[in-house]
Amino acid sequence: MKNQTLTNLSRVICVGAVALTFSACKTTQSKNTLKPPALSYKVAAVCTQAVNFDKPIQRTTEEKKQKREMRNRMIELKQDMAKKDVPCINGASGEPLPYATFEIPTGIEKRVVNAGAKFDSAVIFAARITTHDKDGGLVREFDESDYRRLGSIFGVQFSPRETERFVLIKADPSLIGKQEETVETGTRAKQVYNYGLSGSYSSGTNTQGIQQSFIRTYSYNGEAIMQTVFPKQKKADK
Amino acid sequence: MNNLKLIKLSAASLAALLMTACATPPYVPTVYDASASKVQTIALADDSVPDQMGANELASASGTGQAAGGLLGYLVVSAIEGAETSSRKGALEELMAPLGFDAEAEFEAMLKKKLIEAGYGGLEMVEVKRNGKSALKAVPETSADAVLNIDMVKFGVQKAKTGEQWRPAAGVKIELVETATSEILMENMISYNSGILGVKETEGFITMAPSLSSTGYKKIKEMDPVVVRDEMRVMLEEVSDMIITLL
Repeated sequence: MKNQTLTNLSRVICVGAVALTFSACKTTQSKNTLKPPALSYKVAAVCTQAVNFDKPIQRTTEEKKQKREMRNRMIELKQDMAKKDVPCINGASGEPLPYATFEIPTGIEKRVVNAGAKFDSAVIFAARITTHDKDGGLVREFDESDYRRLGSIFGVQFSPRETERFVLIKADPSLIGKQEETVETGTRAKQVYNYGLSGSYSSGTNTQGIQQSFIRTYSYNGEAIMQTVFPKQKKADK
Repeated sequence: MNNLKLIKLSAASLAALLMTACATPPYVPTVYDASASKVQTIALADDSVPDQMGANELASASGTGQAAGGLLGYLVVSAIEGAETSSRKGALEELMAPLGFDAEAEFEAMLKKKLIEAGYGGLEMVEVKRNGKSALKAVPETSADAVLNIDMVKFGVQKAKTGEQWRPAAGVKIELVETATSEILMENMISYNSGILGVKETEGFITMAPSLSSTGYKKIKEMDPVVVRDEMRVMLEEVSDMIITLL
């Protein structure tokens, strides 16, 4: 009886882990919540005159140790700009501008950074992006033509220069209220499982096409995001 | 092997599977830094657009049946869609033929004009033999500093599923190769209207979408070829604009 229980337990672990495997595969974008655009900024904190680079959003200590494992993968850091603890600075005309600072992961050559705002169903954080050195000094600004859609984010893509340590994403008041109207097609894949009485199962993917219209408004809310992609390790580097 | 060992082995091996099965590698482009480059003259690789337009339906309304999960599922789904596409492609070709629309000639003229406006010289066309591959096997002979190699892997119309509308779509691979060193100075991909047509659906490359004002058709036989041609021209303009911003 004990053996039978253990065998069943083994099956449960197998099936559970396989199910977890498939459910962990991100085949589609997660469902966007419908947030209304915030066209004004309610200051939750006292804004400063200068950006504080002391507490950037960064990889966890554990992630930093996994230098080799970072190869051929992406690290994504993000900030919900509607949160009350998001810092702000006073803009050129004294207007309060929420911002987020991100530390660019170092250590691997030819990494590429995608920085900007995550696409929501109706909202895009009106992001203006700059890069900064270890002291917070400005290294790079981007032209308007450098901003583009990169998968699920709207922003810029660059190979970090040696001096670039931080990405600053702050609200751009000139963008607030502007809209982007698109028709988009894509697929949504669902994993389907059929379980038999004996504990066996079969699985498959059901793929459906989707067409959707979007009217997205640049606003003070939404998500600021920085993705760093790392190249595959070359044979010569191993 | 006793059951406890079996459980441990199952758990360990499946945990490993969990870690590796979904590890879709991210797309890592090569981003061009004009401030660090001396490229002033550019040659354009020919054969940048397919001879025929494609008509691709992403997936049928009821799904494409049961297939194995992950990459295999993706390939199976693609094969089903590919089979469906050929007859539509023929219908689209028949519809567009009387117009004599030369997408490649128009696209290359757009690129030349925009490269000149961006301050680049040279701009001769160089012949390349693709043999189904986008990347250049060897840098063609040219006096230009670099070769801009654009391969519009697919272009045409696409719809999500039965009942939805056909709209322009393209998948484009782009590279800028330095003539003297064969070094790839820039490499990227553009997916216009869905990540699946022409290039694999991953994060990190450029994605574009038609505007709400674009014209969609539910059936190919309902299409006005002049409108479709004009929609294609809008897409080619937008794609060529985007390519210039990468330099």
